[in-house]
Amino acid sequence: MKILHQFYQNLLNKYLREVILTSLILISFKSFAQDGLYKSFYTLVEDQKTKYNKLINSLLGQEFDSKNLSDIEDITLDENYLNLILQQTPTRYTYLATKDKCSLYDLLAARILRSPNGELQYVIFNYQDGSQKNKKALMEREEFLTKVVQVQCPKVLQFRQYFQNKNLSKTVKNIKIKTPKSYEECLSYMQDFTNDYKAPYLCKITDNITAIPHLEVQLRNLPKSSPRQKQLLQKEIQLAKNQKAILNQEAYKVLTKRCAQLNTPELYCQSYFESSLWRQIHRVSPNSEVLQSFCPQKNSTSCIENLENDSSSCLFSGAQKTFSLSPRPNCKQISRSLKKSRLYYQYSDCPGKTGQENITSMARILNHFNPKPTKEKLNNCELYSTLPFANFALENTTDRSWDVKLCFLDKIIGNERVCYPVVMGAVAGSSLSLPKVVAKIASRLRGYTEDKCQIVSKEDYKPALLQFKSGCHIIKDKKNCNGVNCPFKVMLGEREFDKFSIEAQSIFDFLPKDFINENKSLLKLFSKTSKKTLKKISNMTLFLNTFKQQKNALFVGVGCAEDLLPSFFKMNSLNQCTALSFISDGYYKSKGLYALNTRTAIDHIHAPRIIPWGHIFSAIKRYQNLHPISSWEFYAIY
Amino acid sequence: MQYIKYLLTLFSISIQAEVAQLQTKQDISKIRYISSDGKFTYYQKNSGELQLSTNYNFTTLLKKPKLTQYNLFTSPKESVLIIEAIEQYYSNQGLRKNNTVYTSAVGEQEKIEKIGNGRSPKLHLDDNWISFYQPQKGNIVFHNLSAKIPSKKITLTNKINPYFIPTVGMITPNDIIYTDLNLKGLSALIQYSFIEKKFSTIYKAKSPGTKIEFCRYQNKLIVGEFPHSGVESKSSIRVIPLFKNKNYQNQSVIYTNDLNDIGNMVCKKNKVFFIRTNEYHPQINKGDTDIYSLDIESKKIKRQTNFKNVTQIIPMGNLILTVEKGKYYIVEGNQKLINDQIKEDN
Repeated sequence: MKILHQFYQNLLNKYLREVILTSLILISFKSFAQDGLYKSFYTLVEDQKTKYNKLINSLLGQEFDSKNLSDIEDITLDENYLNLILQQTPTRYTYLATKDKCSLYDLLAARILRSPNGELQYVIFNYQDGSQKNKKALMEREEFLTKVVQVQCPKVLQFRQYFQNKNLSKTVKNIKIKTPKSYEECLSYMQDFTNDYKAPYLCKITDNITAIPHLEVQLRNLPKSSPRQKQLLQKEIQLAKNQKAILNQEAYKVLTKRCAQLNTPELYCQSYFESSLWRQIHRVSPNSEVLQSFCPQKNSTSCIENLENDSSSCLFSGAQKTFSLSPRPNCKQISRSLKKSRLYYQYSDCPGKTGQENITSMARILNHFNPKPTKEKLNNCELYSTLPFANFALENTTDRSWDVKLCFLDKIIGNERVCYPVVMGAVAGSSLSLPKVVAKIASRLRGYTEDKCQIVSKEDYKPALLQFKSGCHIIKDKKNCNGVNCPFKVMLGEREFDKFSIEAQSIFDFLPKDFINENKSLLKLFSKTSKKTLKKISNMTLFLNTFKQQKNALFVGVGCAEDLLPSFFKMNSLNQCTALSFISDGYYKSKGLYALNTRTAIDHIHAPRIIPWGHIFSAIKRYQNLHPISSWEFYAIY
Repeated sequence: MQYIKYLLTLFSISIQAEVAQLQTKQDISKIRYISSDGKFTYYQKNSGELQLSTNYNFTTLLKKPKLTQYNLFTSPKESVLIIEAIEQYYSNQGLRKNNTVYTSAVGEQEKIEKIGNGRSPKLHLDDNWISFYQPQKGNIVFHNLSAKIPSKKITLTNKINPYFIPTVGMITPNDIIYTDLNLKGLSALIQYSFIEKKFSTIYKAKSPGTKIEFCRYQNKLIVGEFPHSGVESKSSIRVIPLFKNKNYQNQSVIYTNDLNDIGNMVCKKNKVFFIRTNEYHPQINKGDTDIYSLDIESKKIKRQTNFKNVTQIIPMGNLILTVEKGKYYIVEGNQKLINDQIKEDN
């Protein structure tokens, strides 16, 4: 309670110091210097200094004898002293002292607490002597830490060790700064940070680094007659520089902001989500898949600046490689959307090359709930969709959901037709990998001995070159190739190997189209096999409730492209409806109206759109009107 | 100046009364086309049949696999009917997939001709030509319906948007106009002569991310440029004379809006119908949108709807329709309903 009381006193003090003083300086130093307000403020500061020095001086020279102490656990900081130092310590740090008794000692150990004279040198405390009399005494800071804090809160000193110069590098390496994806997550990270015993030390380090230029100016202006002071300043600067070398620039920036707003996490999170995403991503992960979708040339700082400053640069930049609907939204909109996004998106797909739009949506759902397969680097972007889709379909269905296979007549078993399912690209460790499947057939029919073939593009295949004279080469015509249908030629050495046929179909119900096959629709099947709930969402209220209650829920639907994206798709006939699946994973509200953070199956995974709920409603409604069982196709899955 | 401009805008916009709902004798979700005179109604069944209903009679025009979806198109002349059949509509949804395109005469009960495979079919030059687009190859195919001459085709340069759909027109049997997209995302309206094998740019967008639409009025092209959502550019409609206009330099702007209109233009006689954005709510990326008509001669614009959430204008023969929350409304034209009630005996 005492600490809280002081905390509020401190708030007032902070207000006096920061707001009033700034105003005074801005208006006119001279005129106000003669006025009562400035005088009283000046007097207040001076009073505190006098009080503090008086308190120190009254106890200096009075030796504290620990023999007089009944129990070291009974030592408490002197109330007047505490009041004076908390008034001098920035409010954001006093906030850290409110956790428990030891947390105040954390501030002491981290050298955050300040006295009216500057850095804290002494600690004044109360104790009871052998005859149970209340007494007051003084100790040097370091002595107090080793004699009192060591007994009362031993972990404080243990913790301090981690931040000593020799251990700092190792400690910093183990610190992970998480990037929040939502405002709520940001608040929760801030809460974790303020509760973290490392916070005072980390904040002190950022303060030290920030102070370097100021200390250097001080050092330059120091008179020659102060060699001792010079030595101290040099030491302080050196320490800060060492810390700067250890803490990377990005971590320093994030920690500085967090430390500056320890007591106002809401403001921190608000400004975090108002600032743009691009620099944040670049700081945390410069090779992020997200940046590569907009800046295909890696580490292009100028491109990041462009995304930050020219909102139109997201419309088409890198669009040729992402093979999706463009123009994409502008950088500001994408930045807003990605920050709101729940869907797992740390990989780059390419809807226009997948071969069937619903494969893209289905794969996004599969990858969201099991992102592991996307962590492998794949050579073809369409494989991020077709591979998880094929694996799921082959494992859980017996129909033509993934009917992409290579077939041949196997003479060994009496010319029986044998088919192997395949994905149209190379995937290490997958039995569906095209080079593996072709090699398997070639070995069966031609005695080919290697376990895989090599994929080459039609343009790169030069039969005259020595490298193509032997081995097995799969020659792909990339222009006419997608994830489902990709005609290719196989060369075994210099001879074409064509004793197989390619079957390329992917026919499946993404959502139910009739009652008989309802459970065969892939979304229903997924919810069943992975024990997820699939709930119909018929209105905005239900959406909001489910969204808030189920933190990992995705909202999946099918509607007419002409309503979802009216400026891209024009209706030229009655009841024209181009079916398009979509996933929503966030919402926006303004004046009672809503919009959803949405990726249609033809949008790139890194380019969600903000689509008004009215458009989404119309899209689902019109699709429902045409639907054989008038099904409202909008579900939450979690 | 701004004040004067505001007043001028205010006085040049007049407001239309309420629009009437499209009347149908059966479930509208099954109907694909109603002729302007009300004599012919085309509708589809979930069994995959496309049927024509006329004079208490019905005929099956096409029978495709179960759940085939049909789109039907005509021109205002209403002589030829285009049928686009989308097979496996629910189980193989692809926006770059080719559909099957057929034609028939409006009201014809038997003769149906398969034209080819593609999307977005359209009639040209008095219903003598049909064009359709093949997204995978980026080809626009032009097919003559009256003479047996080989089809012509042109390939788009677009490499940046796999879901781009060009707007296509024909000036003569040998001269076509179409929209295309370059690598920077700039749209352009191109003219191509099949005889001279020569391209000319009629109009190039001012900034990336806008879409160009056009229609023809007499010997002029009415060209609309509408920025997609999030693109900072003005919406505009301009008139470009087709002939005696060297390098198409003679152009006059007849309408502008600082906000991003949806556009989706439909032209009828001397009027252009388009979707205008009156107010924009950036927080939810929503515009208050309604259909307006612009008189090409007087440049006066008139508000035709008051829904604030219009996204589509649909031409159907001589009618211009819109759809709001699944219901269809007539924006322009009169619907003729044949009274087919059985008269009572006196």
